[in-house]
Amino acid sequence: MKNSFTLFTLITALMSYAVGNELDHASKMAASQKIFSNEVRGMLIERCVKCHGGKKTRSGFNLTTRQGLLLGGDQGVAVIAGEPNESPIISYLRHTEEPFMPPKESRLPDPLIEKVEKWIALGAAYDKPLLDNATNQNEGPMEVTDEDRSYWAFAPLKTDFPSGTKVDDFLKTGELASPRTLTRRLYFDLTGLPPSPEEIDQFENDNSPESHSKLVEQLLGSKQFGERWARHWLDIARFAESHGFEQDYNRNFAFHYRDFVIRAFNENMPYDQFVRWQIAGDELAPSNPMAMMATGFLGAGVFPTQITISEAERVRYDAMDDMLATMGSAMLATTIGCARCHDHKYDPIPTKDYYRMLSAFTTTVRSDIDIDMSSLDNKSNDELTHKIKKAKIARNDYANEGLITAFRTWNRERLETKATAIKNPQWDILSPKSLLSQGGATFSPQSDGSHLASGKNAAFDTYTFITSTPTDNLRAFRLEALAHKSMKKGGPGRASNGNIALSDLKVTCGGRPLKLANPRATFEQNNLPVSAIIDDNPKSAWAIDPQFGKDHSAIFEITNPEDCKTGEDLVFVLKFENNTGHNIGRLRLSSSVHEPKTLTFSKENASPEEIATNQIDKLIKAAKGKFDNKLRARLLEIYKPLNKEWRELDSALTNLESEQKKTITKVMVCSDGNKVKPMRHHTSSGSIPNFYKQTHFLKRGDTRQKGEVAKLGFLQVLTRGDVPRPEQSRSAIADWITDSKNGAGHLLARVIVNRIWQHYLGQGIVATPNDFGFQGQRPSNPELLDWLAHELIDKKWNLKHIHRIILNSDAYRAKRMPRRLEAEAIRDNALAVSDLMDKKMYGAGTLKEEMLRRSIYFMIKRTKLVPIMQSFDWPDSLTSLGKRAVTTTPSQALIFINDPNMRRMAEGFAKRISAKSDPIKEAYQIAYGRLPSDGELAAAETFIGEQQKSHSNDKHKALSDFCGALMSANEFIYIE
Amino acid sequence: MIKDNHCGRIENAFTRRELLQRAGGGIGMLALNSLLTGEGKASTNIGANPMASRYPHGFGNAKRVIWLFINGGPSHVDTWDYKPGLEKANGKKLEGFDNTTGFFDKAVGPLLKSPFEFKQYGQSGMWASSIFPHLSQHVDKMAFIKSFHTESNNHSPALFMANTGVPRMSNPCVGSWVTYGLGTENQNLPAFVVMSDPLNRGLPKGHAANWGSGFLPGAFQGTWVRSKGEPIPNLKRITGLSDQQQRAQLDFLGKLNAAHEKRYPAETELTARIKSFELAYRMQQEAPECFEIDNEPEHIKSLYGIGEKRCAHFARQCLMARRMVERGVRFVQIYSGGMENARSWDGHGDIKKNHTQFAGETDQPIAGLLADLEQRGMLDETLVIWGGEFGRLPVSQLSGGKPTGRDHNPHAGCYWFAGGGTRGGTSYGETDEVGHKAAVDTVEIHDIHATILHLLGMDHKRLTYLHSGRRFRLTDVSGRVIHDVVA
Repeated sequence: MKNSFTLFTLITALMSYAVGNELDHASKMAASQKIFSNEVRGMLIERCVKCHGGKKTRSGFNLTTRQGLLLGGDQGVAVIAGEPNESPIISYLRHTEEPFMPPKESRLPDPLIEKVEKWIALGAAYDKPLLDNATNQNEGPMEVTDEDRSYWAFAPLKTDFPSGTKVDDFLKTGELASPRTLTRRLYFDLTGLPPSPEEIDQFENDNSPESHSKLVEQLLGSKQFGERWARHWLDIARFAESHGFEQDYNRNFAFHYRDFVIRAFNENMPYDQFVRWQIAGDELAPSNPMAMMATGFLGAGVFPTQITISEAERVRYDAMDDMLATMGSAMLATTIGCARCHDHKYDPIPTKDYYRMLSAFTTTVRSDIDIDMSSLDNKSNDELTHKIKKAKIARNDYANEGLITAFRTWNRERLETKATAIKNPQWDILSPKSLLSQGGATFSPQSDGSHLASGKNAAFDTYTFITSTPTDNLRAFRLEALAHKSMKKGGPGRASNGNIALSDLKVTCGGRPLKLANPRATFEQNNLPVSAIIDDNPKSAWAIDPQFGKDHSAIFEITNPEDCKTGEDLVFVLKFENNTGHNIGRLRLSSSVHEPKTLTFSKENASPEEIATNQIDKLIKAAKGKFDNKLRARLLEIYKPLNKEWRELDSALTNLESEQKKTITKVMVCSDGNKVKPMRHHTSSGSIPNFYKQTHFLKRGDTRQKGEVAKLGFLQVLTRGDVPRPEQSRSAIADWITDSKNGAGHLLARVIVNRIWQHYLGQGIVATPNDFGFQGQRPSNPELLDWLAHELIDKKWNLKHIHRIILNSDAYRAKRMPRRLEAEAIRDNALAVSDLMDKKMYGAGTLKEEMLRRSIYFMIKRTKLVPIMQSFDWPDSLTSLGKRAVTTTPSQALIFINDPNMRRMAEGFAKRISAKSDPIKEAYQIAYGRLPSDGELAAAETFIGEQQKSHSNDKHKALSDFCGALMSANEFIYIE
Repeated sequence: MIKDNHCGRIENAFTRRELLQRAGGGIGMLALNSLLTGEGKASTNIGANPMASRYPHGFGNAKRVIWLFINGGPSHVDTWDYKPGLEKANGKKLEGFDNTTGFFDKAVGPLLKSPFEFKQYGQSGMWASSIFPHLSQHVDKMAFIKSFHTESNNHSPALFMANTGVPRMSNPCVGSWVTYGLGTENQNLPAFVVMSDPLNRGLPKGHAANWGSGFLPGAFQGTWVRSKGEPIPNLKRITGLSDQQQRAQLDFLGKLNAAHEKRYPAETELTARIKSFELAYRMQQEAPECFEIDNEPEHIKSLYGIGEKRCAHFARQCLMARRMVERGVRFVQIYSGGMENARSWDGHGDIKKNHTQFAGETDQPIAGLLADLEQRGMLDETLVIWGGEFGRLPVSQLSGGKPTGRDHNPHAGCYWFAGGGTRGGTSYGETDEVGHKAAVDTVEIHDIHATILHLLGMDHKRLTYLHSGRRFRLTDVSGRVIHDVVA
């Protein structure tokens, strides 16, 4: 890839030679070489070569030879011979353009820079390479030295702070903001919601010196704190709920990770645990739902769902890279991902370190698993278990006593009145002795005598239904494929569109085949008629597209009724061999003794009571007075759904049981693919593995250029002394990253306190929150950063402690320029003032813009980002983002003036104030936390009056226009 | 620079010049970072208006781009890359062919000659297939690249590659980079517009990620124009509010903001936001007009083929694209075809039927667009691009046992540029004898991107954005301007 670049540079260089004549050129080069020997060479050796061709080759720029110098580096050309004004190196040396060179050092003296300019102008000649063994290749493998470890971000924290140190010891602060301003600021910063007028009054009237810190405590303890701060972390975690790429399938259970973050922040989970669980919760605490939910972090990135064989391995390395690179950016503000193809260009991260760490994720896959969430809300499961036990006893007791008496009464009354039994029904519903699916589906009997299939849906299935022949001389069968909401489009088939395709039906009685003829059906799909069921072609079939969601039946005449003998086995074999998965989802079979021509598809006879009554009648008749315990039990079994008391007791029990079941929830986790079922899509072909057994060192990141197998390791630059290195496990990474003695703990702490500082003060102490490396910014106040990080570790990674010490500082309380709220807070603010907000926490989100919950509950689907959020600079959720951009565009303004959802909120706001004695003052209090000035009041009154007139005296509309304007104004979304 | 002023709103393109001048060099893309800053910088504020028109490096004729994205993988050997060698080898096995090159490794058939007739056209004598009776009349305007190749044999990675330079879903697309670099000339219209198939055949694979802004600020993402209903969201006033009532509301809002602004006179962001409401109001008045092609004269409509059933839908989009660029929209992308298989140029089953249909849908509209741009004197400044994610294989794909289809080919494909300072009637690069692989002067997508930026006056090595500790480029660490196609 470098070659084309080289060529281009050389051409440019050659072209500049061509300008003068040969002689002129030679003398110029000689003069240039003289400057080089006398001044430039020494300077390059002293100030440049260490990082550009000596121990390191930063930016891929190696100036040990002239060829290398003219070649340039990753950032492009540095020197164009003969063209000092076009050579970026001069601006770097003059410190007029970044990167300033030499970095972090004083500028070269001007006369020396002028020499360099002259040298370049004359042709940038060398007398010999700067180093004896210089080549144009990068040197051998990068070595991580103690000097690298002394770089500010990797160095140990400074810890010798006197006790009683405060934030304000490190900073000078100007005038403090007013209490009213501070209240509003605290509410938005901590909860993302505005204070109500009452809350502001309450704070203003509290003149105690602790009023500020009291409010800080109150808000840190509110549930909305987690909802506000979780969103900051989700940006960093590139959280979204779909795979991206071709189909962008939803990850329906990924939202649990979002809920984990909200809960963790609300319950002030120690930061080291928060980090450890996100990396390896499944290994560290598999029985804790929070630990499992936390692993969603690893799997939140994109993943292609349509993979060809030639891409499969690269795709897997991409997926692991996504986990490692995000962990690096999010937790260590270190761009580990840059070391995938070559040693890191700027930071001391050799490619070896990259693959050693990558190997920790070798078997890590996404999986949807069942987790018992009952411990989450401290709901006592014991209490529920006790209730269930009691309900069970109550029901069983009744079944053993009351039910028997009730049956006797019911049966007697029934026989006396003979009202319920239907004489000569058209159809007798057949109840099977056995019903089996060859393909592995399971059937559950329904109260109407049908059987609902669930579980496995084989591509081509065969159902075998065995019953006793109810009576001699059967004349017809009815086969019903019934609708049910559990199927696609309501069925009646289990195909992906709800269709069926029954290709064959064979019936035998006592082993004798029954011949079927004259079939008819409620509906027949084009070219897929009911007659296909009994033709000779095993593939042709009966289907019902597009009549989905409806019950269908087919009637067959029996041409040899004489072969039907009461009590013999009646066997139905149904085959589905026409189309993938087109098996019947709810089946019911019936027989009839009536003249076939008179039979209809009628469902008379199908009420549960009638079915039960018929069955009971038959059993009693067949028993001929001999009642044994088995028969009694069978009769009661059939009867009990008809009994009201039993039904009530039974449903009480079922409700309790389902409540218990409800705490078992599907959660998307990341775990070892050998232990959980990897998430898989129909779009990956069978031969594509979910993961590979080993992770190899790759040359240039290319899966076709494999080196040895990589064994687990950590970033050397963040490792001191011995760190335990168990076999491939993510928990080893979790240990190392939080190890504040020998591992990465100090950097981990620096990174998170910097993020907290950034959200409160508008800018981090390090302005590049996701990159503390060489390319990033230096801390503006390194002592403060180290002190905050030290405090965090010292207080056992207590995050709220850090919030608290920042929030109670004068630095935070000072006057400041207004800052725009983020997308979520803008919308939540509008929702809050409208009084329409639904404060329900947790659970699946939605894409619907009209949702009334807080914006953190929008589902994040990568190809369908919620437009209003996207418009206000929502992250793209593709890679970790440490700081959002702030843009101002006309399409944002269009949302405020024309979006129907925004208007609905303005109307809600108007309704809220309309009944008040002074709606304008109230509106100002709600929207801006202050009263209007006299001028503002007058302007508002005039505006409302005029609008009301033009709206044919509709005051609500006028007030809505007014509220809409208040919500559109800068003061609403810029918080001081 | 457009002087013609249809909407009267074209902003002065040069006002920000001074901000962009780099010390000594006068070439300004690095300096853009001081105006447009991301997470790596002292401030995240994207200047007063991210869309303000900016002045490029000073070379390049093109001011705007229309990219006709030939979606699904157009077959180069059946469109523009005439292969007599393939004709000769028809029916033979392609020796050494790797069956996993395409998508269906078990349906590889023998070499298949193009079912279409090729002829030379124009003064330049460029070859064109008989499926382009209209476009073949314009070959002297076209600069062909016949040695394009890409990384993936799969639609969405290849689409991402073509649009963003990486086969993953992560980076900004060309349109976003261009608007990031140049802003736009008309604040009343979106800077970057995307139109997809209006016949319910779906979106290109990977959907909106193909026109996403990736890590660039969201303001630079493509605006997807809906084919039904309101073309752009929130252009319509809420029901029950008259223009006069809204105007009064905005005037009142102006008062609220003015009072607030007095307290923070130095905050340009607040001022920019005040201005954005006026821009929005004007956009709401004027943008719909841009989409109203029905008022165009009959001869223009028929030039694009709006009366023809087979191509009316694409003709409307091409005409809309012309109206947009005429009004200062910077970048327009139109996708021909929907998702995959028979819904786009993805001729797996029957290449003859498939390409006859999709060429029929686009031939006259694109030819009309080229002619119309030329007659309006706009072609010089408008870069028109024809091309898709990859080409197709010279071997057939068996369909029902018959060698009638063609599978994906990442190793070869064809693009052409027209207008915008390109050299018409030229051809760059070649594929091998049968069109299996790019063979001479091979071109990767980074080279095409570098050339697009170059034609627009930007150096692809200097158009950078700092994100997560790295200065990203559209062309990553590659890219070479194909000077042979530049006039």
